[in-house]
Amino acid sequence: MRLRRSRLYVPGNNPKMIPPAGLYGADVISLDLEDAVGPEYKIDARMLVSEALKVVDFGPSVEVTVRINPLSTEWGRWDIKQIVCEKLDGIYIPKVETPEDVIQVDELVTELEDKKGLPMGRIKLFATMETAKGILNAHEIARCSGRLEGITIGGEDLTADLGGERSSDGIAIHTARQLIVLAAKAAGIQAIDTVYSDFKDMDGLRKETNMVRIMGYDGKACIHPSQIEVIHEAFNPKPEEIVQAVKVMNAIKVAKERGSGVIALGSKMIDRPIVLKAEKMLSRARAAELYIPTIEEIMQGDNGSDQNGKKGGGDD
Amino acid sequence: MVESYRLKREAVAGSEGKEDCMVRLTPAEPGTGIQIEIEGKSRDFFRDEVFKVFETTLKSMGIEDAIVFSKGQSPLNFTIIARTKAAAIKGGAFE
Amino acid sequence: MVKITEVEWVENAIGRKVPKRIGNEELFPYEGPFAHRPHKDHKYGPKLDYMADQTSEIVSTLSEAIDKVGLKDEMTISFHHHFRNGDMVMNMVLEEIEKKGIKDLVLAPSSTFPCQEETIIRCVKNGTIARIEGGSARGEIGRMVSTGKYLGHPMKIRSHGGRVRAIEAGDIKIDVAFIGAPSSDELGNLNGVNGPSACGTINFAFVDARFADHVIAITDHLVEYPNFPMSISQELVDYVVVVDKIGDPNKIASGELRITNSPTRLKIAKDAVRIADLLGYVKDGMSFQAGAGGISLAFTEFLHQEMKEKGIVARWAQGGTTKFLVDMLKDGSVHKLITGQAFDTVAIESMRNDPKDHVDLPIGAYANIHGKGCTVNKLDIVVLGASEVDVDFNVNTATLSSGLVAEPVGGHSDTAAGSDLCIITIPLFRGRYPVVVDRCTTVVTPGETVDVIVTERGITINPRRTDLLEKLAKVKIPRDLRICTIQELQKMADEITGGRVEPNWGDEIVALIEYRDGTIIDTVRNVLPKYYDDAIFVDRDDINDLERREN
Repeated sequence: MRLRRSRLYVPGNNPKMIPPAGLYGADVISLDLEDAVGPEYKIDARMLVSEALKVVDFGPSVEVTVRINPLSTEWGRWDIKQIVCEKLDGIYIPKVETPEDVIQVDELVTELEDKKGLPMGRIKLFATMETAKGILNAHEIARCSGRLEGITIGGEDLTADLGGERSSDGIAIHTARQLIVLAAKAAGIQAIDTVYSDFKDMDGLRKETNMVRIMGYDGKACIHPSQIEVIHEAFNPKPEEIVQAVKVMNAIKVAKERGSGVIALGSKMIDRPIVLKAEKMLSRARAAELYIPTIEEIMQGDNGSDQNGKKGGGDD
Repeated sequence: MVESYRLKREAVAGSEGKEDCMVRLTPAEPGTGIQIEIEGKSRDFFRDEVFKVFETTLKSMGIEDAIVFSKGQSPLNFTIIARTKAAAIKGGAFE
Repeated sequence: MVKITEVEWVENAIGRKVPKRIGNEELFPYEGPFAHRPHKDHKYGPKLDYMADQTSEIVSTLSEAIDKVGLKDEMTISFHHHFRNGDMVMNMVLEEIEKKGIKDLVLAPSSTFPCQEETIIRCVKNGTIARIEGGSARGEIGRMVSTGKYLGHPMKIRSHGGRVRAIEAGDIKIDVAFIGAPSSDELGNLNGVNGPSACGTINFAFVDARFADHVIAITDHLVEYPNFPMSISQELVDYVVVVDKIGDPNKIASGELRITNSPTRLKIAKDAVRIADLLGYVKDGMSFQAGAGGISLAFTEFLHQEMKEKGIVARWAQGGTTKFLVDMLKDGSVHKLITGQAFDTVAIESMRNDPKDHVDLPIGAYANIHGKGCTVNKLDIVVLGASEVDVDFNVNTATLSSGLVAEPVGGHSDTAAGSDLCIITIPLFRGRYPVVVDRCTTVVTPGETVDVIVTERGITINPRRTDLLEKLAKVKIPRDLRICTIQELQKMADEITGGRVEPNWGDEIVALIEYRDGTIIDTVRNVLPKYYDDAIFVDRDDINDLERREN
């Protein structure tokens, strides 16, 4: 599945911010027709995003998505009709409460892909749960569509819906966060966390991002380009984790060659969770194009010989 | 063949912000064609091209007669097209 | 002015039409970057002189100095541009000349800046100046050149190296060189490192000092004899005039140059470092040239970081020197620095305090192809800007897409030809103007000498460089770098901007772009009035880029 560590919101009615949106290094951009746009400007924004999608290039590795208005509004259906096009990679559906909310979008997108001669099934969907009802239905929602590749949580709206309060530890939405991860992983899709709105507070962002990573989240939304680097750093495997993963995979390989059923690394047995973690670290490192040392390089380093830790695929 | 659509009321889209333009479409008598007036920077060198963008966009929506007034700060084509289309929609062209 | 119908045209080696002669001056069409040898045999020489046993050349007023050298109508006068937009020398001299009623002079500056515009334009209009033989014509002077009015003769636009070539060959015969000297003694030993108007180096004036018939030094900092360093030494200087102020220090050198914070420019700079690295050019012993424009500074900074991470040390670097280069010298990332121009106070101080590792050179030694060897030939990497690049990789820096003469050539064509890897860093479009176009409005640097173009939306390699393409095929391209063809970039630019619009050309020749070897690479016509109110550049960084582009 695609690398979705960071998801940058771009206000949909701002012509100046749309062309450079792909330049900040975010994995995903979401051109926002919903909360970033007031009711009087919904049509302006929709047409602006629609026209931008025809001619603006967002870069080879960026996933281009649009957050539409809910289908229950007068705008949602028209949003989808306008934005489905060749350059669109995905649609974020806000305020999802039932699987129906997603299925309706799925059906409309299918119809439009067909009508517009686009490759069928290419446009992915992402559902945001922002109410108590939506969170509790996360399990069904996460499984309801073949296009659905991720679910997210809308922290602000959910906190309000619960009648709770924001706090630095996010306790009001903590269970909701976990439910989203549970639902996502049970359905085999990704979980993306909500924005950290104080974009001057990098320490706070780092703390929260590390926390959700530990919980199993695959990425986090952001509202300002300066947040992207911190988010990527939190989600990227650390060099030690990569080294450990290489060692684990090597131990498995060695054991196979020996025909041994027992796999050990040093004095520890390697069991399934450790293997899973190693695979996940390596697959993330590969996707993010981080440096993955070979087992030989690692053994050299362990033996204390002079190893210059080079970054990137060196070519000598 | 594109059906002919008519603006039913005056409508505005966009703003005079950076790289944006405000587009105001006013219904015009059938047969008067598309009259365009533009204010703003960079209008001289690209004047002909920008006029064409307005004309082409309106014609692509089947609107043959309209008064266009636009004021902006060096919008790119996609912005001009989007604001024109949005104004046409709000002006009831497709109702 | 010369009408296009009055000359005979010939097509040059890049397919541009250039005149065969203008008046009784025969011209040579561009034949290729290294094709044309000097069409004269020997260097031109200035007058011999005589000085008995005077111990001082100080003259009390500028007016007196001008009289003493015998400045007359139709003579050629020259200036350097080291004081940039803080220069006071040119205005001061021209005003004196105006008072004396001298007319029809040829002005041959190494470049011009906005603070000189008013004076120069007034002098052109009142007949004091008949012709400009200049490296650049920015701003209002550029507009004046583009009208085709006032100036009777097409302006020759040359690179830094090309100006030296022209002076040494006698194509420009300087009668009087006016040299603003931050410090001088009474016999005219000059340097640029000391004094309140210190500018680091006055190397652009070296060739003027050696080839002009007369040299007048103007200083605001007279020191006791002998003045060291003797960047320009006494046997070349006729007179010394002491005035209150020759320049505004705040505008001569920046107190604090900052890297751009524009995401587009940052990405371009970062990707330029990455592609240089992928192509194998970032390695021990490398050499590079950096400028002081927005992208250049960021490039230098990112390159520095990369080099520190990998423990790479460069042998030498030149520029456009700034704090960013000096920092590399200080922490051992580069062994030696050569200053072509110093842009900030850190660079000036470094020149003053660290002459063992940081020197300046005559511009001829830096860039003249009709000399015995120049530093650009030893450069591994150069990073340059452009106003336009076309599908043949030709580069324009002299005119805007509207046809207006607006920018300096600087050392662009010199460094592009000499360096091993010439990287052009440009945004894909500026406002409505596509920067990657089908055909450059004006060609300054031929595509043959350009290797890589880096935009924020894609990188392209000149197909002529099969060696680079082969190298690239063997490495893994990072997921967020797009390598594509130049046609693809042009298409992208056209889609978002609506495409290039042909300037509204008139029928007069207002400028000739002379390549570094004296051949004519392109012609510039006048632009008809309705297009003068252009505001091409969208933000401050672009304007700063222009002002600091001199490489």
